[in-house]
Amino acid sequence: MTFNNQPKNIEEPANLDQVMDSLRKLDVRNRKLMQGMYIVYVVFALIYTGLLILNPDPELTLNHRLQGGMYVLIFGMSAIYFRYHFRKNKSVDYSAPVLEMLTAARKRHKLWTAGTVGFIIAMVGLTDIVVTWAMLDDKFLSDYSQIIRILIIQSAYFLTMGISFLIGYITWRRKSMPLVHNLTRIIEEMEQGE
Amino acid sequence: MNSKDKQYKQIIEENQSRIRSVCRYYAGTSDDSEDLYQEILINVWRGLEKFRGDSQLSTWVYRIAVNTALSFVNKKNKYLNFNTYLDDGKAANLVGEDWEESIVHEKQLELMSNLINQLSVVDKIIMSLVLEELSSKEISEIVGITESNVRVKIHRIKEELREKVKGGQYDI
Repeated sequence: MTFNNQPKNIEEPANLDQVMDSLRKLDVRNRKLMQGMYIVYVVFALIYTGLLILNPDPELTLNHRLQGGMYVLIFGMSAIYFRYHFRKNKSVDYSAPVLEMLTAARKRHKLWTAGTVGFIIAMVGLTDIVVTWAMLDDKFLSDYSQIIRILIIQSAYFLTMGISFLIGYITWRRKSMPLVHNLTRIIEEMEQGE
Repeated sequence: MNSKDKQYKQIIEENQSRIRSVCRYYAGTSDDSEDLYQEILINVWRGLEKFRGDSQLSTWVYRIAVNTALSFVNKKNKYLNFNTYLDDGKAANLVGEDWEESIVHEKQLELMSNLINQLSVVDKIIMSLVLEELSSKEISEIVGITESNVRVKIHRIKEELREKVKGGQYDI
């Protein structure tokens, strides 16, 4: 005998169907985002490499070329990072136990992981060095002393980084945080009694 | 036909009924069931190279089927129905031997199905595997929790169902 019953607890926050639906959509969105970022960084890395090697401008000093090299390094590392996460996101292991699959999904959507923190610190630090180095020579700050110039550059740079982080955090809080909370509840329920 | 093709064909032939059962539990309509079935077949094919023989083949297939089913989105309704296929034998297996003595009618079976649908999602996953008559060990390998925890959960769920069925909580 067959019964087709409508679930009564459809509005529960930890409804797995709802969680999996959100998870699938977010995974697709993140894959597209990571692929897009990968392409952007590869293009930038290629353009900067081209400029670095081919630019015949006689005013380009060794410093300029070294700064260009650092940009290529930053773009290249970013491209590798996004490519790695794109591939990782794409290959969901359906043959893993349910708990393992859900735990991996939660990890994918957490705001901070050791790898992400390391990557962000490295990129923000490297970019800060190269931007500061490049802008110190810039003419529009030439009226100020070196200390003031550094302070202006650092303030502008970290303000930009702060705003970018805030936008990223708000987006994560709106889209991924409820999913992470729901996955945590389901995982905790599964692990109860372990 | 290469060896992967042969292995795949054999796995599907041997596990077709298991995959179909999972589809019946998780898909609301026959069309959805067919879509889900196709998706499971694709994931079995994709996962074939990762199968190392650490668990039984049937357990591995169940894992893929359940994980795919959980990820499956019913395109017409946003939420998947969880369908229980109960007969007196299965119902008795859930609430105890005195099932047949006290209640054997369709309404009671429907009540039991409703009760299962009110369980938490984790409990539903476990019950779907219990209804498939899988052992605690197999269920633990599919869900990823310890065997003793599976037994504790099954015991608790059965107690809850038994209480609700016998306690006159619902008009039958």
